[in-house]
Amino acid sequence: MNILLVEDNDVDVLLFQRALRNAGTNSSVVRAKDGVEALEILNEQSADGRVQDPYVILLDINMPRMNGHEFLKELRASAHLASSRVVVVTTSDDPTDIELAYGNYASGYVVKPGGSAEMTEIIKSLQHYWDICEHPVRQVVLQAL
Amino acid sequence: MEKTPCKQLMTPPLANSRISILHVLVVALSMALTFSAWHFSKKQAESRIEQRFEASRDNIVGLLRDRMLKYEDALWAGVAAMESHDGDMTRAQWRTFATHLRIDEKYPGINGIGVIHFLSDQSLNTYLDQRRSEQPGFNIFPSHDYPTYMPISFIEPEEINAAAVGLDVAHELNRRTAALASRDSGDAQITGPIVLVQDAGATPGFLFYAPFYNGGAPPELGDRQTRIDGVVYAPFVVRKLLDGLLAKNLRHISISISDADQTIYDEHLSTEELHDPAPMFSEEMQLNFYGRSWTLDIRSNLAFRENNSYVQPTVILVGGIVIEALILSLLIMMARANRNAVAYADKVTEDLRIEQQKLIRSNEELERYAYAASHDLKTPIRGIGGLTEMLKEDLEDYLSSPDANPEIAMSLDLILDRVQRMNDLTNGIIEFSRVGAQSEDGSPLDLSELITSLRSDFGLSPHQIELNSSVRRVSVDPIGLRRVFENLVGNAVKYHDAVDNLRISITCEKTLDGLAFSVADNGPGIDQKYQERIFEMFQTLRTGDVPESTGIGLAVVKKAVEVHGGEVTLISNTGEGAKFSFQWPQGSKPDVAQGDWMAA
Repeated sequence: MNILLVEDNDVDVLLFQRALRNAGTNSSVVRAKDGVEALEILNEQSADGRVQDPYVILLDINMPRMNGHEFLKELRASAHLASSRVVVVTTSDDPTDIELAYGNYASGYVVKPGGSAEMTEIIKSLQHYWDICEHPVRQVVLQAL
Repeated sequence: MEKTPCKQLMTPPLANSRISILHVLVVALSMALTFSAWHFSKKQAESRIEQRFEASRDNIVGLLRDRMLKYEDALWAGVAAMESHDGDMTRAQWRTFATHLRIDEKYPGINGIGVIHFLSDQSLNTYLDQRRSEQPGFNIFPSHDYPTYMPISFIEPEEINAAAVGLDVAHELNRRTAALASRDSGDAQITGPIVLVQDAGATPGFLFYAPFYNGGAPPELGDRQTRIDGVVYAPFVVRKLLDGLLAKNLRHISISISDADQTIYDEHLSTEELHDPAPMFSEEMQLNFYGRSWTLDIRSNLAFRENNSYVQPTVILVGGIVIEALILSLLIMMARANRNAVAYADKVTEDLRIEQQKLIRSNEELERYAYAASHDLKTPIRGIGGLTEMLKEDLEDYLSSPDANPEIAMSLDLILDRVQRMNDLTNGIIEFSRVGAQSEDGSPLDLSELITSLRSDFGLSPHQIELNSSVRRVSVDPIGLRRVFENLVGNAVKYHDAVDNLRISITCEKTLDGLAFSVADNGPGIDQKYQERIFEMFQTLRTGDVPESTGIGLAVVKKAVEVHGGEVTLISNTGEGAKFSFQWPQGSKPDVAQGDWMAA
């Protein structure tokens, strides 16, 4: 499971990394500090190969510069990134946020748990889901191949 | 967020700030009253004054008649004296008679009383001899062509009437006509206007005749003409006659008398002291007596005017108008005061509205601030929590070793506990801020599904929550309503001593303007003295080591209900459970099942 973690909070990144470790997965994780950086990474990924296909984006909502919703909207509007799978992971349980996220075709919406133990469980279930899914390779990559 | 701006204050007051129809009506009515009172009083005064004039008129005319009757009596007394002497009295005898009449005292206005004999050519010489024997130089004058002589034989008092002795009244038409009329009728008669020969002023006068006959008054005209001896007469100066009637200054009327076209007496002269150039009353009347027709022109004078002014009606009118003016100014003042009051009220209302809007704004700002602050706090709190957990995880080996400091593990747990509490508080504040914000959103809330989810949320068995409702779904602010139930049921669970014995009964009834809900539990109840405080923010009755609560839940409930214009009431006694009741709008589309619908 190749992960693009879009998260501005360093503590959450730490927590996530620990949970990932505890879950025992050997995922590759690329971190972006906000939506702008995430888009840059995705657009340049074929050049430097930082994010490997197939990948999943774990997206925070509240971020500086470009927040999660804006990022999601840009993503769905982009021809070669529109089919990216995104799971929103945020502290917000505001119904408006949930609605907006699903409105932009988020695959899932997870409210950040308090501790790393719960986070570990979430990673595990995500990994499980990931494992049983068939992952399409992006159009661009196919053409390159 | 607040949905209850003070509408009543903003509607313009209904009070009329101008003079209303009612005011006009009051003024008009009282004007009408004033004028009718004035009119009535004027009429009355007029009629009273007219009556006074008529009384004065009747008085003067009556006096005049009486006076003439009295004179007539005197004449008839003379007639009686003459006839008792067979028509032949001496000058001395007449003087005696006249003296006894005391005409000066008893007949004021009379100029004298005398005798005129009727003579033919045959009897003239005998008569003249007789007269001259009494009064040497007696002569009849002036000469005339009329066959009968009518000389004045005696007249008393003679001193002032000397010029008349011997005057033949037949020489002049007026004197003669009346004398003949008196002879023919046998009645007393007066002459038309003449000037007395003895009146130096040459003012109008007349003679008053009463006939005497040889052997008394005969019934037949022919006999009267043949047996006439003469007339007893009295000469009058009209001025003196009237002077004696009633002193002018005691009368309120003035009078003028004319006989035929000739004025014989006139008080209507501008030189008169009490002359009124425009008399209030005047009347002409005919006075027919003694063979003449006198025209009396009677007019009110200044004395009458002075004594009979229209003061009362004028006072009523002026007083009424003054009162009217006062009422009018009062009404105007009232209207002005009212207008000022309304203007003031408008201003105050406007000020209030502005103040209220400021308050609403500041409230909204505060809520936004609370929301933002809480929201922004969440991240560092989560960070502290996450780091603490990581720390605890990293120290797991050390903490489980026998030489570990137990205070470290305890401190870490306390940090986590406090983090949890901070999380609860910030979440509570955020929840509170959100109440009412998205009231229109969401699909209708199915009450039975709500109960089911509440059961599972709080781990209660089916019989622990019962629903008794005639309503199946609620479409207005379903999220808010769910929040209310979550908090109320959550509190019932949280504060119950033994959750296994907890029983919650939820009811819903339709009312005139919405729905009435109640949530009753069999928990410990709430002391009367706390029943108001519990609805305030951050107020909790929990102390010590019992599960912490944020004190936000009931504030959220209260706000959610009040946003829709409802009110939360609590009935509870310590140890007897608590029953919360509140109203909720039903919405424009009532969604009611047929008959009562029960869920348990």
